[in-house]
Amino acid sequence: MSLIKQLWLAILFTVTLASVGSFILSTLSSKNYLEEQLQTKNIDNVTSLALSMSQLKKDPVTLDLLLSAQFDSGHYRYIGLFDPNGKLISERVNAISHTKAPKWFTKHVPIRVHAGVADVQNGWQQYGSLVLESDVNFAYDRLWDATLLIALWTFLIGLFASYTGGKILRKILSPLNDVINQAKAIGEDRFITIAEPKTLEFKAVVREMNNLSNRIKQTVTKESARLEVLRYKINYDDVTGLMNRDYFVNTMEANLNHDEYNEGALMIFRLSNLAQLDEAMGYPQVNTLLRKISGALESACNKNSSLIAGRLSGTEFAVFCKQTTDEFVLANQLKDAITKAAEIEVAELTARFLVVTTKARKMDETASLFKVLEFILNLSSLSEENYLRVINASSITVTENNYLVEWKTLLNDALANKRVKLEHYPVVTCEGALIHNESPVRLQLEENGKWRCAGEFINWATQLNLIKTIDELVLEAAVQLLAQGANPLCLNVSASAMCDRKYIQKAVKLIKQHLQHPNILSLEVSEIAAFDHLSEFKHFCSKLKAVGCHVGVEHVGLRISRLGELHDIGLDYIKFDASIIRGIDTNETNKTLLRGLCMVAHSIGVQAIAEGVNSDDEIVSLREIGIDGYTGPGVKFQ
Amino acid sequence: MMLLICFTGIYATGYDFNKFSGLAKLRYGEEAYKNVLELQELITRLKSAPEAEKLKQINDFFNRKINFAEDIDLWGQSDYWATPLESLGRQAGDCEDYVIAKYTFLKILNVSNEKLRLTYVRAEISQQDRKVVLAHMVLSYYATPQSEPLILDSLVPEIMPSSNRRDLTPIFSFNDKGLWVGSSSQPKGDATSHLSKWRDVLMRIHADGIE
Repeated sequence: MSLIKQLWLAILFTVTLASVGSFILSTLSSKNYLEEQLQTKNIDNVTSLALSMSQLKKDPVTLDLLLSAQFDSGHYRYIGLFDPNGKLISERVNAISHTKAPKWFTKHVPIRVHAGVADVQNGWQQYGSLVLESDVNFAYDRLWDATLLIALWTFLIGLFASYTGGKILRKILSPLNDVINQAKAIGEDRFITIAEPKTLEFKAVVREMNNLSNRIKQTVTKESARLEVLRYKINYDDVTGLMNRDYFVNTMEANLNHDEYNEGALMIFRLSNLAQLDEAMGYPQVNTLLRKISGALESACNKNSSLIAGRLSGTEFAVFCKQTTDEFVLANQLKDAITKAAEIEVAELTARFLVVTTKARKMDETASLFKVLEFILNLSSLSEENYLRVINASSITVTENNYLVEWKTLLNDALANKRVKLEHYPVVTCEGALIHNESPVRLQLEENGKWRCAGEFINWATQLNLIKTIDELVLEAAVQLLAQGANPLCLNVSASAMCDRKYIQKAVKLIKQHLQHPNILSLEVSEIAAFDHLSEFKHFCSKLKAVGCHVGVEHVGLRISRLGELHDIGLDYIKFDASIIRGIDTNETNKTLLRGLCMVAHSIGVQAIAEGVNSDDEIVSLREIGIDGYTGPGVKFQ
Repeated sequence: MMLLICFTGIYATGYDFNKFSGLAKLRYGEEAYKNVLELQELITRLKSAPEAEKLKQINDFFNRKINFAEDIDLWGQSDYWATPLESLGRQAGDCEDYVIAKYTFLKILNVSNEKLRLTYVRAEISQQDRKVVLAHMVLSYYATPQSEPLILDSLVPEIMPSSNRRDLTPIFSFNDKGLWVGSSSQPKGDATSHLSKWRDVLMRIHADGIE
């Protein structure tokens, strides 16, 4: 039983006890008072009647009349005159008087009054004795009325006291709910802080829990920052802050091998006259120039989340787009941007760029892509002019075939007919048990046609504003599968769906309706979406965790330093991006980084999962590092 | 007859001599104490004596021990009903104080309450050849309910039948019948409530050790 209920019952008990007690006491004291008054009346009236009779001539008719007069004009139950031997001379009995008080009341609260007795003298002789009893029925009436009134008032006051008592209790205990919620949150590894309540005891508890939360947050933030520095040193170029060659290649490779990947573009920008600039401007000035160029590329990446940029060597910058795009247009835009950024005040000098771009298809060999591009660049550099070359020009025709209008028709048709299915890629624990199946969406654009992966249509769906519709269909399909008894599933939720309250409402409703054990459904968003829309992400998590689903963040890598911000959300897991995992068995620095990341994750009660695992050697290393689970092309589940 | 037996049973009077004599000594000194001892001897002697003897001895004892005094002089009140202890202690009292003392101690000697009445009388007495009318009180003794009462008076030392007392005219008589309720020896009602003079003096007698 809850504390508030127990206290309320205690109040109710006390009030009832006090009410019943005062009720009984007041009734009894009224009764005693009435008895006393009636007793006095009996004695006084019988004495004065006896006195009157003693003075009269003892004529029986006169005495009888006197008795009648007294009886009829007063309130009596009985008046009797007896001779000295106890024989009745005359009497009057009131038989018609009655009371409105019920029988049980007069039985349990009897008014006991004794008859008044007095002697009547005839000169020196005793004439007889008078016995007189007052009518008690009017006293019963009075007592009954008073009792009813007191009962009513006692009841009303009791009711009021219980009601206000409950109200006051609720007010006093209201901070307790916050304290409980905080304790629960901490129990679920959501290290939240709340305002300290005014009640002294609650205040002490909340202060300690706040301290705990803050300590955890600081630890996580500090540790993440330290790891970020480490990661940065390993993966980024000192001068420009862009990815270094290894990291860029890893990231790109991870993308090319990703299940959802279809087609993208790679472009290399070579600053062909670096040596000449170096000579003319000096080393520091050139570094500034390089930073301006990288800044232009970075701002392009920030605008378009499908782009990543890196510095391959002293003179070469690379940009990779992981979505289907018109690489000619993109390369041109970027070339203009960096040319503008690299404008030099010294008039006779300009930074000259050679640009080569190509489509990068799924499972393309990264090494050979780079090799071809570098070869073309080396050929081109001879001309020493600013130019842009697109190789593998056939891709442009493909794009041309897929006009936006056509995509709209195809997508709408596919969605309207729910030609949606979920793929299954297992995520397993180190012991080999299934955590869940990652379930990316497949769309069939034409009936009985080829099932297309997300990379093929996501760009178009985004442009056509159909992403949320796809998210909803995917969720419906997943819930249906789970309701039919499928293994635990994990869905990737797009940023736009995550930020959409309607989608969240719909998800909550669906899950409540169909899933008995909602924890078999996990919903995850990408790192970029989570950090770009942090408050929406927190709302999303709180709603879905309240229903009982698991929530996670995928592709964690670029923004490790912000991991501390997730300490109060109660995430169930984070998935580390394949770019960190790739080749982990041979990369000692990445091992150190990942070990630290796992520790941070565990300290806030979050499962650490590796993405993009390819080989058994990687699995062995990951187990040593202390990862909780992994997924990828090299992971099978029987 | 049933009524009579019943009342005798109920009003059998208890008497705590030790308390009574102790209070006398404490409040009124040696002489009062001696008087109480003397009364005690009398009671012991009279325990099994005939009722006529009891009446005579008690009447004489109190007529002898209590000197007549006005309430206003004695108690500072125009009409004060004193208990036997107070009357014996001060060795003074007016007519109703004699009557109360005699009534109380006759009851202690097992004279039935039913036979005793405190009677208001109109008394005509001669003082220096002039007739004076007094409001007076005497104790009446009825051997049977119908019989002529014997009068125990403080003005005339001798006990006489009422027919011999032409100077007295009875007005009203009473005893404590009907005041004691049920088997309880306590007057019914709250001790703090207002009491009549009669109930008041009965309460105080009780407090002096006479039940």
